[in-house]
Amino acid sequence: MSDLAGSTTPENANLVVQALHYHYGHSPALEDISLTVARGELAALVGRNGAGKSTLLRCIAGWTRPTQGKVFLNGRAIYPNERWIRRHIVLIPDTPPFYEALTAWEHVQMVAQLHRLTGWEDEAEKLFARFGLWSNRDAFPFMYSRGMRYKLALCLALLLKPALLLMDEPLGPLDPLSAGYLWGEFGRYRDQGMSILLSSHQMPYAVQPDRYLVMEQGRLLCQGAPDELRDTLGLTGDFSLDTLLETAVTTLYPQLPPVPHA
Amino acid sequence: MRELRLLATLRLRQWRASLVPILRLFGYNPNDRSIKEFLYNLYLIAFFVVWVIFGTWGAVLYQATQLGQALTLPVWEQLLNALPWLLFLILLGVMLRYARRTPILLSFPDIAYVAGSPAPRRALALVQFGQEALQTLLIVLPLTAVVAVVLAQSLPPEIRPFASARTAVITIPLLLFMLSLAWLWGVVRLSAPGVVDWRGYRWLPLLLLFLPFVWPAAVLWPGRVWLAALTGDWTGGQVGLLSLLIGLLLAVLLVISGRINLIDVADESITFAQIQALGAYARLMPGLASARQAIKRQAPVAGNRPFLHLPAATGSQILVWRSALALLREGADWLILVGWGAAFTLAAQLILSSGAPPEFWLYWLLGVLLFPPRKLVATLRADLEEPFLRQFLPLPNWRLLLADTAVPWLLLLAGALAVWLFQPNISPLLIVLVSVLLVLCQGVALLKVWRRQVPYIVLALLTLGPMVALGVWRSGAAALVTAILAIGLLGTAVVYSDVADRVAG
Repeated sequence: MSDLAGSTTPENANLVVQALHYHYGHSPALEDISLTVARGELAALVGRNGAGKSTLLRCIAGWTRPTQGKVFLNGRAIYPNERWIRRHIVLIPDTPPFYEALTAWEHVQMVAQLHRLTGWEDEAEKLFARFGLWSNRDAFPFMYSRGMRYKLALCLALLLKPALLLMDEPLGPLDPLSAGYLWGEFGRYRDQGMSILLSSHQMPYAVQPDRYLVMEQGRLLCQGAPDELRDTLGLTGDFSLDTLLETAVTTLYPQLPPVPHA
Repeated sequence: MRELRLLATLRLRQWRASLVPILRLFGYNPNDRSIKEFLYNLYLIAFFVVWVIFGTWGAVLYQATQLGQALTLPVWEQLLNALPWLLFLILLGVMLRYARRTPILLSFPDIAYVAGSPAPRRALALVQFGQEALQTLLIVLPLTAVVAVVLAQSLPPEIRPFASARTAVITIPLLLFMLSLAWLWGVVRLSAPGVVDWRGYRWLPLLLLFLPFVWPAAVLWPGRVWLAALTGDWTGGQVGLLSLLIGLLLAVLLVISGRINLIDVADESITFAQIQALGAYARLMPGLASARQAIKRQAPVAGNRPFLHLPAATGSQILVWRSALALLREGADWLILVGWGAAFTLAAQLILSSGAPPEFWLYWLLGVLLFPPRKLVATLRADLEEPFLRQFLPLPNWRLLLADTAVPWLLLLAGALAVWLFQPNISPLLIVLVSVLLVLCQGVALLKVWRRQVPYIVLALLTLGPMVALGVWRSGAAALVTAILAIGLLGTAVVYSDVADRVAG
């Protein structure tokens, strides 16, 4: 896999994952995952259902303690610094939950005031307006549709501007307009140094992330920029996600050594 | 009549079907028709009869007799005076409940097949009323019997026999009277198009609070009839009047229920239907229990426009305000906290003033442990259960616990102190210590400490048990030291609890 590693080096990396393993009881869910995501980089984690994408994101976010391995953010190990990571990493799951008794706007207000953010109202108003939530800001999120809940979660995350934003299937629940807006906004936040790692089965039309990470059966098959993968995997033109996935799974997965105790 | 029988059969089958999953826990298999299974079922029934009816019920009655004999005359008289008021307040509570939501509750299959069918609405109302009356009686009758046994011990020996039986007999028409009055209040709302959306209607029963000052005899009459049955002074006239009133109320109920708007009934039954849809194990399985609680929390909020707002406080202060706002918006749950603090302080004072035997302190403790005020840590639970929400709260667990439980704890304490102000013959320190320990026990049970998660009941028994036991049998100072040690230990556990472990998926 080292020959397919991307150009990000640990020196300029925002996120470094080293030899990460996670087991559900005796069955391995993640095996020897090592990856890096640079500052301001947008990386897409792709893989079939059950490949371990969500589990990997949870381990990186500190929601799940890995069985083995380390995760560093800006050179700082995550696990002894759980309180610190709550200021620097945000993970949005595919169906984010919210408080029952607070309206959408009050969620934003609570988080902003808890973090002592200044001038948050303008930023939040802009985000709500762009995501089409402004007219529903005084509604309770449990009455929102799945897409609206995801947008509210995005508003909360983008307001905090974390060093690392993790997103599980962000493009599934979003309408095309919001997905397009989100992709455009990513550029602005990346310019400010935010790294983004998202898992997805789809990409907005005619756009590519800076880097792909392909997973299968809890293992990382390859990672790299689209151009690097095109050369290495023999892909042509603007390849689609399913082409990338099929090629990586059929050519690279059989070459991997078997998991010792699986 | 045919529809009435049909609906009654349907309800009976639904009830039986809801029992099956619970009975399965004891090994009952409804699909097995073998003799072996039949014998096992017989064994289960015999076990239930011997253990629950003869064993547990006998022990409960014995303890009730002990408590009754320990009651001093002034306490007994106070209880007799309080009983009619208690019944009146219960009636008021049920009326307020049915003024807010339909007394006829429909599950999703009911909404689809019963509400949509041409079956007469009065048949549906009658069957549901009967079902509720039966279910309530099953709970109320044993409770009444226990209360009657306690109170009967201070009666002259010649009227003591059958006092419990007499009260059980009068409880049936009294319950039907109270239930039909409350149902009528709820059904009128659902039958009159202009009333169903009038929010003031739900508060109208509160006007009855003024009635005791104007016409106390009428308001306290049901309770006095119950007491008359206890003391053997009941008359045929009282029972006849009660029966007449029930007949009248049920007749009016039947007429009005024919005009019920079932769309409103279905609309207001959604929360009940959602909980029903979770199945019989919803109370037992942690995941389903959380979903059940979430549905319950959403119900009072969903129907209302958000009132009050978060202030401009920053830092952890905003969490304190958030917890207060959540409590106020989620219906009358804050009253439960006040009531809990008042009820358990009152019970403690009653045990103390009546000079009841020490084991009653253990029953008191058991009550505290088995029925803890869940709202005490509801906000903390919401913060900890969802790692998505927890990641936005940059506070260690101990600060989160303090911020989230401060308001509910103060409400509980307010209830306790209100009772203490009226009857200051027990130190308020007891309820303060117990409530702090409850907060900590429930809080620690939500967390993983050194990679271990200890159930609430174990924590509570380990900490509250020795404290109360020492207080009862040895000295108050030893109990105080135990409580302070327990607070220190649990506090340390919260400080060293591990967020990542707790939120592990």
